[in-house]
Amino acid sequence: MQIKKILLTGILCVCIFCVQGQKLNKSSIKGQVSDEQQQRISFATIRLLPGNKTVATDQQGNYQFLDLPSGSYTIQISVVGFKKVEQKIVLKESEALSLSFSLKGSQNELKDVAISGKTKATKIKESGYAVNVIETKQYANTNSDINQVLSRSTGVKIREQGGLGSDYTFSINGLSGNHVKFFIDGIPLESYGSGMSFNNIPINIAERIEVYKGVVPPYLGSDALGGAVNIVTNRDRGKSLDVSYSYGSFNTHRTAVSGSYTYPKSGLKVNVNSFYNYSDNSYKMRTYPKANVYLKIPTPDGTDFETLSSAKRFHNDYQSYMGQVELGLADKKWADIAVLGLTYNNVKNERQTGATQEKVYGNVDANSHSVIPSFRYRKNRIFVDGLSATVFANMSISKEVRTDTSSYSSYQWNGKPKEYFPTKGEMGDKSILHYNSNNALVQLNLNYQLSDQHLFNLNYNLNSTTREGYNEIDPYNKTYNKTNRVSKTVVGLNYQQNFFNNKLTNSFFGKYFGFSGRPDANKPTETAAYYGYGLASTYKITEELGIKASYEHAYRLPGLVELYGNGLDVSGNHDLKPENSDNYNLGFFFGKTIGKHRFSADGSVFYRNAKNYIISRPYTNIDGGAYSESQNEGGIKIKGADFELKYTYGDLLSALVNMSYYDAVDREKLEKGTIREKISYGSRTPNEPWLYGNTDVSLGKNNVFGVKGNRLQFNWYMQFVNDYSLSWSKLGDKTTKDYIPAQWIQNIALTYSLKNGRYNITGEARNLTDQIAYDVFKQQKPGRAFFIKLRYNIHSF
Amino acid sequence: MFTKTKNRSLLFAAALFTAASITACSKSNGGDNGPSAGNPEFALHYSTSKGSYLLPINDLMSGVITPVGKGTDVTSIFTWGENIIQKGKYFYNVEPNSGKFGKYSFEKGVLETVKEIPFTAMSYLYLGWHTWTDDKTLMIGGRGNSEYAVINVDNMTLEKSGVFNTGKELPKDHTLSINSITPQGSKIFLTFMVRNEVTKLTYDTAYTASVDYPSLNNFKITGKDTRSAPPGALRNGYFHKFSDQGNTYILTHPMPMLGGNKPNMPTGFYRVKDGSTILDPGYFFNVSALSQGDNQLGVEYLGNGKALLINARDAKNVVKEKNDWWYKPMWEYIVVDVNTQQIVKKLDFPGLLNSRSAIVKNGKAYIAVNDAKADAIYIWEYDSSTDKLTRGAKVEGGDGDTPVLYKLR
Repeated sequence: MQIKKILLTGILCVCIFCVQGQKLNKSSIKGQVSDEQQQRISFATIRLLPGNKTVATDQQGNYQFLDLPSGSYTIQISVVGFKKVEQKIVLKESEALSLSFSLKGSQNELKDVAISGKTKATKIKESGYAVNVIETKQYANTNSDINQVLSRSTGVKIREQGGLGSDYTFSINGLSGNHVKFFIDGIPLESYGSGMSFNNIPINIAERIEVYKGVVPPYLGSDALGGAVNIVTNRDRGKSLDVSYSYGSFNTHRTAVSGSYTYPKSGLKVNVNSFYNYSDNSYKMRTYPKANVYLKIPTPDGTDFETLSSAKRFHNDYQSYMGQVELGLADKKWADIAVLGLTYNNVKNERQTGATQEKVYGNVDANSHSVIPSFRYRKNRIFVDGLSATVFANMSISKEVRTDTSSYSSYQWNGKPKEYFPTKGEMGDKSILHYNSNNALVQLNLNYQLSDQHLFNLNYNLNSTTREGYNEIDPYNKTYNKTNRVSKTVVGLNYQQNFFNNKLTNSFFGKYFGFSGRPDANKPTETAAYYGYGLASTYKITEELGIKASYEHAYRLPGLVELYGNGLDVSGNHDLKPENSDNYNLGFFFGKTIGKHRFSADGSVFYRNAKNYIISRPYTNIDGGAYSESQNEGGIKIKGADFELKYTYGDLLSALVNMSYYDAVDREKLEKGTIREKISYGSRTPNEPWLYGNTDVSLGKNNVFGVKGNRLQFNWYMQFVNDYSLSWSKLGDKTTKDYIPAQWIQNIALTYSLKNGRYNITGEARNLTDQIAYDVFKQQKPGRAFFIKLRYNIHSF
Repeated sequence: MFTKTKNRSLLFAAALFTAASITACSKSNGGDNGPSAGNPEFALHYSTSKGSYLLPINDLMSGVITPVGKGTDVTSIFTWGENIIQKGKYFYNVEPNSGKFGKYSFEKGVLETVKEIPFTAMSYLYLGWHTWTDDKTLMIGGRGNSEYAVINVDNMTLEKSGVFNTGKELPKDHTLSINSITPQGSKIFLTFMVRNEVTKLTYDTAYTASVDYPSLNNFKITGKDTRSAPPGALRNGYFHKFSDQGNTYILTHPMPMLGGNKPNMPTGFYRVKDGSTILDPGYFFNVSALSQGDNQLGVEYLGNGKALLINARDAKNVVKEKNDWWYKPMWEYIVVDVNTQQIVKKLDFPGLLNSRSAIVKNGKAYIAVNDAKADAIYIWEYDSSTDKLTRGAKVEGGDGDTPVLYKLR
């Protein structure tokens, strides 16, 4: 019923737009921008004078200006790496002028030109949202995954438990874990099954990453409390191929292949995205008195402990691979893109530690794989000018198995097990836990450009998850055996207005969250509905300087496992309410180019007030069994600030420094259900870095060693994390408190590129000074490591 | 060069965030439990929503006892409260997850590790009992089994460990579940129940036995009694015996969940006459019979034959699920007299959360009173000679779990 209502509302909106659209009879210009090889150029800036109207080409190189009065115009086309084109035109009344451009220039070489057009990244940054946009091009030759690139960004902190593929917690402006949502091309990551994760997706798959802090635009149709990350991949690029392989310390291999090809005549299109990762993750664990870390093992006679100065991780192999093939048609009358896809991913993961590194595992493994068929469709100018639609649907079928059958209760850092208990595993009684989950997603996005000033967006999302869990060793035990289902509907409506020649942009949005869930087949369905809303505004004071502000009353609905448990080590909590937060951002951006010098700066302050905060609490039952259960807590208040400064000099030098700070405090005065004052009221939440920053400096030169089209580039990157307390810092005598020491991690990389970036070789050193660095719950991260990466990359063939 | 960079960046950071710091508000810590200097006489182990703490107490009767800036977060040290053994300023603990036996000292309000040794001498590391055979020799055993270990806590060595050898005294496939243990010179006197490992049943019988010490040989069953069981406690750290006028009184723990789960049996005191190794057949103080069939747990001996117990008021109807044994406000403090065999007093509190510890000093008992409806846990003083109750220090931050008080000198 609910779905029908929403669809009807959507159709009604569309009809209203259509009626309005048909009233217009003004002139328009549209066309395409391509290079000399007829490859279409996306993100080219098209400027129309007088009036200074600016649009960018889409991924197919298309652009359009609507509702133009008749008259004489000058049209300018500019894009990085190409010569600027300018043409005078005369537009008659009600004329639909078609005008395409072919640009000259070397497409792979960045020329020393003053860049007049703005990149897509700059444009997104200048929207009202508090957003970081990371163009991944500069990292494509490094051995990074998405997380490592994101952690260089302001307001973002990724805390990893170990090496490649390890568990991680993602935090945006102090809200972390489930409070942040992830997307690939606007599709929630969770709908890709369990194997897709930011710690295994190589950077080469991505073209751009957008980090929305606190306020999430409705086109990312999901419930996110603290923000969202959207990865925009390199697909639908016409013809392109990117192949890379890297090898390095801890026997780490990484391969990524992504490519696309469109048959010009038939419009038949093939996209391939794939990666393979493997690592022993056998880095050294260290004893480090400064951090109160001692690797203790019993002496051979068992009467005492001895301290190992270091020990290699011995049960931490990680392997993951993903393959995605898309087949479809492009540029048809009925569709700009219509593509069927199939994705498969597979992860094998040996667990080395529990939540802390004191708990050492030697025989606990987790394996999972998912198959995901998908369909996507896009059409611009559907029914009427200015209306475009995208549709996405997929179904992920995932299986996960966690094996814990060692007969030992635990292992030690020397790789040896402790006592033999025939019925025991390392996490409790022996178990082979199976989780089968299916996730179905349908997403519809409608955009309607009423005029240059008014843009509407409607997003509809239906996400349904079922999950079944059982223990292979104890298959008839009902505690383990559980099937449940949760469906979430998210509808977002956004209205954007642009005034004063695009100087002022306002977005107003509302979101509807519908929930229905069933704890198991015999129980009745539970339903609930919630409404979120927000706005984002930006005002450009000058061409260089602007300010922006945004606000959202955000919701996150509890997930399936939080509500109903997994039947194994997570107990469900039916009484969970959705968490909500009022998120405020205020920021500025500045960018100035003088000759070859380009300087940019942006900064923001923010405030979050999160209520009914869902927290997972571990507890031990009377028999010593370890479980966790989610609960609504009073929540936290966060205030903070971040900034980023960037300077580039032509293609010779680029330098960046940023810093992020936040103060998250317990906002609830009384313990729940009591009149007892909380001892943590007003105190900073523990175990979270609250001050951190990065510097990133690149030096490069083209045409070195007398060879044309090559480039040598050196990069130095440093990450700083201030010390932070492992527990509530106010509580307990100061002398007893445990801190994670401040960290200064330095990475360097040297890349040599040939043939305008077609062939690349990179040598990279991570954690060059071999610092002992820790993360969440004082888990040690890898020490010094070296990698070499080979990459082949072409945009046309 | 490196340090320079560091300093510059820090300066940078400092400059930028001065504004943010200025706006950051701070909250005062509130009251204080007397001067923090010196060695506190008492300590409190309790849990809060932010971990469990061992806190110093300088004054039981005034001020605020708080973990803000005081004490030690023992969440990851004392992971299982029943495994804590305290003697003077020293705390001993078996850590079941990592297989460690540790000795810690609590001085100047801070817990410090003296020494930790690997401890795998028992198959089940949740303690059922402990006893001191002399000042430096600690004997411990597992809950619900007949395993034991003897540890010299001066040099932290394991002196002996194993399973009580019952010889022919018990049939094959039968094990002990020791409920009280009393060193008597060259002998040890045990009270226990017997479990049939084939049927997995524990008999409704209280047994007594003696065994030679220190050889732990020559195990002899000295008697059986079916008036109540188990004769003593099932879990370590539960008060269950005291001596008065040369006699030892042992409280039985038939209570479900926290005791031996014998709902058909009453809670009461057995008596062991001085030098005897049997339960006095002429004495049984049936406390349940005086309290509408309720079961009790022991709290502390008050002197003059009087003991403080907590009564699980109407648990038969109140307890619906396992956790209710701890978190239902059904507990009431009662004072019983083993000589007159009477409940002499019910302390005037509303129904409380589970509490099982008290300190006795100069004839006065100090108890932690956890009333779920109050703004905090409070220490109360009960003077049994004048029958007077006085409210004392406030304990900030406690949750529904049982606070435990320790006397350090």
